Amino acid sequence: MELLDKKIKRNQSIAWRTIEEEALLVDPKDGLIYPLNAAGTRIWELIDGTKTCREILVIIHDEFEVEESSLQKDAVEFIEELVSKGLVIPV
Amino acid sequence: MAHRIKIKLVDIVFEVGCAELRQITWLKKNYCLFVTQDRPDYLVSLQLNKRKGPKDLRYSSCNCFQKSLSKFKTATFDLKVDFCKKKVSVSAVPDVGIVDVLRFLCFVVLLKKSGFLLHASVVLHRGFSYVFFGPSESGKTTIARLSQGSIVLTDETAAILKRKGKFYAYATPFFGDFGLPDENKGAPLKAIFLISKDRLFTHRRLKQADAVKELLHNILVNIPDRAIVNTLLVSLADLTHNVPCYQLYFKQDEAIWRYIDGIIG
Repeated sequence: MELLDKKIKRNQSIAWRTIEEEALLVDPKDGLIYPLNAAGTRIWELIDGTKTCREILVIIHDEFEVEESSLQKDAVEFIEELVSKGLVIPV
Repeated sequence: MAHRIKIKLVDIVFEVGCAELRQITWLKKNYCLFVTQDRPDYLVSLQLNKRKGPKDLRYSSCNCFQKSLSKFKTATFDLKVDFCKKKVSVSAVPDVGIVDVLRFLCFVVLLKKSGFLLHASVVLHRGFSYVFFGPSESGKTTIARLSQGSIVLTDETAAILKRKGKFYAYATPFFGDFGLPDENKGAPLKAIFLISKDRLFTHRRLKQADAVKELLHNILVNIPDRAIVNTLLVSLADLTHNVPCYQLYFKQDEAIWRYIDGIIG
C-alpha cells in the first residue's frame, strides 16, 4: 500500500509545542529540534492516527491556497521525511 | 555523623548532609555567598559509594517526572527527589563533583516549578535583570566584564523562574571565568539576548518560535525524557511570550549598555 493510503500517527516519544503557528518538535533521545512552518505544523496536527495521508492532503488543500499537484508532491515528501526521521509512524 | 551546610539557590534552601567533611568544606570555602542560616526547603543526603557496573554517560530519568517521586541516573551519581517530603537522596561515586550534584538538583527542583537553568550571563541594570545567552565563546563573560557599575549575577549559568506572574533571572554559583557573582539575588527579567561578538552593534527581534529553539539549545542538563522536554517547551513558550528576545551582535565596548538602553527604550 502506498504511503498516501496509509493512516499515520505521531511518535508518542516526541515532545512538541505549537508557538505562533509554528511547531517545534523535539526528539528527547538526541535533543534534535525540528521547527515546522505553518503548513507543516497543520499537517503535524492532523496526524492523529485516524486519517490517511490522502485525507490529510484534502484538508490542507481546503485550508491553504496551493495547487493540488504541488501540494501532493511537497506534502508527501514532507510526510516521508517525518517517517524517515521516526517522528511519525504508519499505522 | 553527617556534616551539614545550608545553601540558598534561587531562593530555595538546600541543607546538604554528607559524612565526608571534604565536600562540605569545599562548599563553605567556594560558595560562601550562597551559604545561609535560613530554614531549609529540601534536606539533601549525599552518600559516597563505589558504584557497580559500567558508567552511563547520558542522563536518564528512571521514572515519570510528573510523579511526586523522581529518580535520575547520571554518570557519577544517582539522585532521588521526593517532592512531597522535600527530601533528596544522592548516591555518588567517591570523587563526585559536588558542583555537578548541586547544579543537577537545582535544575530538577526548578523544573518542578516550571523554571530552568540557562547557559547565560545575567546583569542587573536599573533594577531589572538582562539575560545574555549563547554557546561557549559567544561573549557571556565579556558582557559581564563590560558591565562595570552594574551588578553581575552570573557569567555562566542563569536560573530563570516565574514568580507571581513575572519572570525573574537569578544568580547561581555555577560561574565561569568572571568568578563568583556580586550578589545572591534575582530580579525581574527585562529582556533576553542571544549574543555573538562582532565589530559593530546590531540587533533584531527574534520570532517567538526561533527564540524558544535557541533557548532550548542552551538549557543546561540534558535529560532524554518527553515529559521533561514538554515541561521546558511550555515554560519557554510562556517566557518568550512575556519577555522580548533579541539577537544581539556586539562589539567589545562599554557603550554596550547605551545600545541596549536604546533597544529597550
